[in-house]
Amino acid sequence: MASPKVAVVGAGVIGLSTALCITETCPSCSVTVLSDQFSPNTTSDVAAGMLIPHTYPDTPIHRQKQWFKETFTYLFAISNSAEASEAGIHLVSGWQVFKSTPNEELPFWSDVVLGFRAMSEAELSKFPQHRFGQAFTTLKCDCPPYLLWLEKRLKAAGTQIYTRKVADLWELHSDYDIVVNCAGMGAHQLVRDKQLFPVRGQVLKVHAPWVKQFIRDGDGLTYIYPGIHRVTLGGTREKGSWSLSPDAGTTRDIFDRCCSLEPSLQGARVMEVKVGLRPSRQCVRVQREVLSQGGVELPVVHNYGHGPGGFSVHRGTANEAAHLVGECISALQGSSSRAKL
Amino acid sequence: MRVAVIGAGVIGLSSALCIHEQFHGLVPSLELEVYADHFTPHTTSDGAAGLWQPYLSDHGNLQETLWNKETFDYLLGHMHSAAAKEMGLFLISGYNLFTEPVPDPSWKNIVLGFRNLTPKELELFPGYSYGWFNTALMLEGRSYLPWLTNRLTQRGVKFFHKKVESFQEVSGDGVDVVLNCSGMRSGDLQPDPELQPGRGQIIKVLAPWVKHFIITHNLKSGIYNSPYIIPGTEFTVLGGIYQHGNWSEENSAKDHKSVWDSCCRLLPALQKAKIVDEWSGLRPARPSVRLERESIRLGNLQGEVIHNYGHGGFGITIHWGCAMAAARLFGNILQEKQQLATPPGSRL
Repeated sequence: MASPKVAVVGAGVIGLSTALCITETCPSCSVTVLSDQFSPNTTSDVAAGMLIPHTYPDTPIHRQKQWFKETFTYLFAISNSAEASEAGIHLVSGWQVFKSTPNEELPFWSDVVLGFRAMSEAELSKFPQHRFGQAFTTLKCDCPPYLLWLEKRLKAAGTQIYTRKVADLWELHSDYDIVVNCAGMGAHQLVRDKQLFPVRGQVLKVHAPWVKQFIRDGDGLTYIYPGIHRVTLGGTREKGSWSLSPDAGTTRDIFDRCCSLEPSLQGARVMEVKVGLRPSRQCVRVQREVLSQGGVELPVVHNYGHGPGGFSVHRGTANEAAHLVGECISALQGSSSRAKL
Repeated sequence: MRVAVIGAGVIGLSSALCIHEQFHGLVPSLELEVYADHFTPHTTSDGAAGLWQPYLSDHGNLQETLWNKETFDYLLGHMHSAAAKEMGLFLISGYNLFTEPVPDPSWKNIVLGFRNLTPKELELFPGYSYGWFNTALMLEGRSYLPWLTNRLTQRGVKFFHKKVESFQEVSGDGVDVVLNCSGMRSGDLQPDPELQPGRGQIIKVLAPWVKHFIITHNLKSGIYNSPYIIPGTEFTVLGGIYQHGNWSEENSAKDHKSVWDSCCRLLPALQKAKIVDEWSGLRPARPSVRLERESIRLGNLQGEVIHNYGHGGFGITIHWGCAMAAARLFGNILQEKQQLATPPGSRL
């Protein structure tokens, strides 16, 4: 197969990074990205893009750690380069505080982030309602810059990018040899995955340029993440809610919770309120599948279901998905040579 | 009781506030006047980035270390108030970088979370093999000085735009105490060969992705003669110039190139940053801060001068500790005067 034609469905952080990995591991592939939404209208654009992993219940920890490590290493190199500001990647230090000491004081990712340690008494005294905390330095991917930067890299690698709503993967079988499904929440409809469910998150993007540190409550519900131009205040975790409309009461509640962690936010100006549906699953689906219909086969690689942890593992899962695309190509080449016999 | 304060930088304004806060209740007749030829945003304090960080070593000057600590603790106490934003006060973490191991600084237990850098962190800074990470405070002069001015104005303190040529000039007419917070120009009021300019030049850029301070050190060239990057609320300050004895407040092209090139080497993404301003200022450097009383002949009267100058490149870092010390000296003066003027039985 001279130039395998690969279609990547989805242009959020997963779709674009997966497409990029495929161009890197398979230079002879012709890669096309198809999506109905692009930055700034993807779920990824709502997220703060902090590299603080989520723990997937049904994915082995060593695999999650590998994904995180690959992602962190990749972004660390960009943050250290002249492209850092264009790519929207920057280091940020801060605190994760807990009202009661967590069962696991050392999360699996503590040796991947920088300078991880327990907070001192002096630092904790700033948070009278919290009795334990962790201090560390991690990376943040600001969107839209990061997605735009990925698009730029893709175009430079010859990738075609089209706006198109794909209702059924079979639509693509006549034009493409392999389909990569990075549809995020869209996979619910696209491949009818009943294990995929939305977890609604509302965030405020505020102007508060004096906030240089992140603060996150260990319960994952309240967080303050300083980005390049905006600070993301969050949030909510509403399982099963499909509503994309911001709720005014929720806005007030998020603002109040964040101000109790960081009182200076009283002086912050709310610039935008956004809602995203985290495409949640017990485990991230990074998997090969061969769809079959009327004697025709369509190799598919799935890469979706990253829930609240998409940014943290995106490059690692993209690498794995690209590897699976390689396997699909080998399988196709194997069967085509058998066909010649 | 009239007090004249000379100087409206961070030292003059904070000393005035500290004295007024402590004594106006005890001395109802207390009148404070601030005289200065430069007010915010044209003072030396306005040019400083505003990072709380003392020099590497206090050279055994424990008094200054104590004043630094008092300042840090005072500011940290204000962190949780809604006033923090107005004051230009916020927490910031960052890196101090060295090419060889160095002893821990006097301030390691004053700042938050002080620790050595890990090998992975050092990968960020090729050429540097050792360093510290800690969380400190920023106090931006461009916000703090107006905040101090507002507090003082609310308290009825008067301001006079005037270049004071002598202590006598401000101490006629019932002024009992003069607070000399004239920074670099103290030598004009009273010669002090120990006070020398430590000229600095900085470039202000737009680089909002930078969230940490980065201060490099070259033990041979001395403090602040090595690149540093300090992100503020609106701008990021690039610096790395300290020229002892240089009185020029003109920007130098050579110094610009040195700061720009060395900072871009440290953080390559800065090459894309937009330059918005450039500034040169004179750090009022002295082997130690001059914080003491002096009796001065003012016409046919004895007056008291409280000197509070010579804070070099750590004025913001040490200001509140010095303001408190100046207030204590003022308290002593008050006690002495009361003992002379008050009939027996009367008490403060």
